Amino acid sequence: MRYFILICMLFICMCAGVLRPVQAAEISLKDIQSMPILYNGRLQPIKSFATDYLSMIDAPYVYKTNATDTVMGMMIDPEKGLSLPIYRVKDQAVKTILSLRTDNDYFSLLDILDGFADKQELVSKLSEMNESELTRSEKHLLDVYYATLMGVDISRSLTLFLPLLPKNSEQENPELISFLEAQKTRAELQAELQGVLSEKGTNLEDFTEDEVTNAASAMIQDQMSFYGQTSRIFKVIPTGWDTQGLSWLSPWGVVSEDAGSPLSARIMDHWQNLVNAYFRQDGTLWNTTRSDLLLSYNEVDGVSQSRLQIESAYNFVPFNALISLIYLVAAVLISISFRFEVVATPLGKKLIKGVLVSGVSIHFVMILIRCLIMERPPIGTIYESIIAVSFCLALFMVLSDWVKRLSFDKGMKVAVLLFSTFLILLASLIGQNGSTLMVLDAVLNTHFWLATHVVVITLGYAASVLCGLYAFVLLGKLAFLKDHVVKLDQEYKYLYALSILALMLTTTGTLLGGVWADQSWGRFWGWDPKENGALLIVLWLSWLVHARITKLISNYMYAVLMTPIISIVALAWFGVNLLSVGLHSYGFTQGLASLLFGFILIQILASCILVWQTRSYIGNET
Amino acid sequence: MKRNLIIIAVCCLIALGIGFVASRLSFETVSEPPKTTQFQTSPTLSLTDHLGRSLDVPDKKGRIILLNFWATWCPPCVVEFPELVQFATTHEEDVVLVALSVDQNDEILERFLTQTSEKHDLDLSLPNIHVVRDADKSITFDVFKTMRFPETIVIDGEGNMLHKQIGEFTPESLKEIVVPFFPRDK
Repeated sequence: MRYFILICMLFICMCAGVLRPVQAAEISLKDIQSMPILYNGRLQPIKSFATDYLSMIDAPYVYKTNATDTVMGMMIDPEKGLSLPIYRVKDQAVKTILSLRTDNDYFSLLDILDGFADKQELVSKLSEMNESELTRSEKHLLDVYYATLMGVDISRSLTLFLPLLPKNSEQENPELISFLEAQKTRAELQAELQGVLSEKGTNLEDFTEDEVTNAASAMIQDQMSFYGQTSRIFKVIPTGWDTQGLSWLSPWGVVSEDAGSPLSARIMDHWQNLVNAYFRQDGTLWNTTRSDLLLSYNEVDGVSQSRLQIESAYNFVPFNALISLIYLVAAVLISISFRFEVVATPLGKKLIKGVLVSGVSIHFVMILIRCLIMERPPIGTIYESIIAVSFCLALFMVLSDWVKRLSFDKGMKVAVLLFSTFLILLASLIGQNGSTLMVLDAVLNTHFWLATHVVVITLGYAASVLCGLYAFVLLGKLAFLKDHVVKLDQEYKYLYALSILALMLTTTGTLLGGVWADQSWGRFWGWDPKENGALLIVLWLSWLVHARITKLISNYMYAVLMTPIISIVALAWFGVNLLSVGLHSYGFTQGLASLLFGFILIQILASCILVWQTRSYIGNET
Repeated sequence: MKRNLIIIAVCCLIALGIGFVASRLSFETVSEPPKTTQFQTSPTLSLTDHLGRSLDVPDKKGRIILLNFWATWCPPCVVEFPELVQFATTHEEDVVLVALSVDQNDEILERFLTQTSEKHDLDLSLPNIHVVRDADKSITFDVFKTMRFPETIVIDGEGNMLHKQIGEFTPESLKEIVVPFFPRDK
């Protein structure tokens, strides 16, 4: 309990640093990182959007750590933004196609746009082809193309607020105003210009200086309007006109969709003032407008400042790295305690326990925060299920410590900790190219049965993995520790109890899934690859349990045959997602196939080595 | 064995409990943009029309207001204007027409009103028909960010902005869209 309180306090202190009110003495684009944006189907802080985009284009770390500055900088100073070398192009063939330097991996939007200038025909041809027909380089070329389009969209997001047009042409150094500010008098300007054109014709030499300026201003406005209309991604303006499906739009979207309303007018004016304050470096106006903008957003249905703040804080803390590090430290400490008595003292044990509890607590806090942000159980995507299973593994281990008889020994603890760390790193690998806070497909986002099914099946996966790990550790001890035979019976019983638990949970989870499928899809069982995978785990476990009860196999063989369960779980868990077929093929992740097959191969190899080392047990034990 | 079964049963119960609690969390489908269930409320406006009569938005008598943004130099607005007036004349008890013109010139506006009322036999002095000039666009642009014309917002007696018509209304669309909002038809 003491450890738990300590961890909570540490975490609160950490968050307090992130959540403290900004007392901006100077203007910083970071100040607006918690403002809401509708992106990927949900309202999220601008920082999440910026981080997601930079992850998607695999921008250098220095830009990713200052994601809000980088992306907002692209918008507020498009010229500078276009020159930032943030787009990664790895493929040499793509570099050659786009005439890019082959000795560099990072390029600016301008470089890439130049490259694509005469490649439109190739891009259209590739985009019409099936993905399976494309080579790796062609896929990469298309990815770069789409990322470039998105970059262009982003860099145009705020152009209607930028001071680009002369306000009063009669002055020598006219004050510059934005496209939005100019709209108030655009109709009059156009009418005036029509008059001049009908009177003097189109020869500019006949125009006065003011008339030339007006003509130029009108032309710039037309061009800005033409190009700006394609900028749709930066949806920060709530319009309130829900019936037309235009609830949140980009600033240009409001203009081109005619979606103005008192609400959008207020928020667009605040954004205008914010941009004006930035260009004038007026800290007072910046802070006042920022507060006003926040107040206006608070009035909008669906905007929760606390949730946006929590998400900003969540983005700030590198949870995966932190948890992996703690688990690794705990694993190292436990490993050291095998040899060194210092760590095996009561104080050393307390230290290990403290590290373990802190790791599990932070892991829990991470899942809880995700739950709060997404307002749903945090086990909806493949990323989330990996994080959840690794948490369950670590939690099983910590909870088992409370009951002395059920406590895992050191070897098992190290195995669990290393496996949990492996899973977290795997999740990080999967989530590296974009946000992991994803909106679920509507089919998954339903009610009680799904929530229950997912939770139980996740616990079942974790329990099954524990069985496999326990079997590996047991065989490892048989192979390498001569004096281990003493506790053998007890450990076989423990493995049996664990497998019963895994069997119960996976069976219950699979049945619950059937009930939910019956309610959602109208059938209990459809031989979907995921359903078959879950059934395979159940069948394997029940076959083993029955074989042991009927004494068809010995305790030793029971442990040997329990080792493949990790591979079976991996296949059921990831395999069907890789096949990208069936109703469960959400979260399909490319590049995972080789990792999965490598993992299975290593496991088979490890099992073979352990069986060879312990072959003396075959046949001489019941 | 019995103890193991108890442990398993407890685990299953905990799992079911977690599932139940999780399912109680908001389960709205969030793959769609968040929806606002309430209508936006119109700002309160106190205006004076071309005949010097004052009026309020929203209407104090609870009638539907057609807040029309228009200009005499906008061809579709010129086509729409007499149709709106005729609709307001027919539904005098239910509708108030507030036609906010962004014309810069009073004379041009007056000339247009005179010509149009003569041509279409319109009575612009009816108590539910108001033409208001918003030359500085302090309402049209500053409050509603209306940039293209014509545009009409339908506002009920409580100030709820029920509908936004982008482009012109036709007699058919007026009947189809506005009539269902009439207080007595609700």
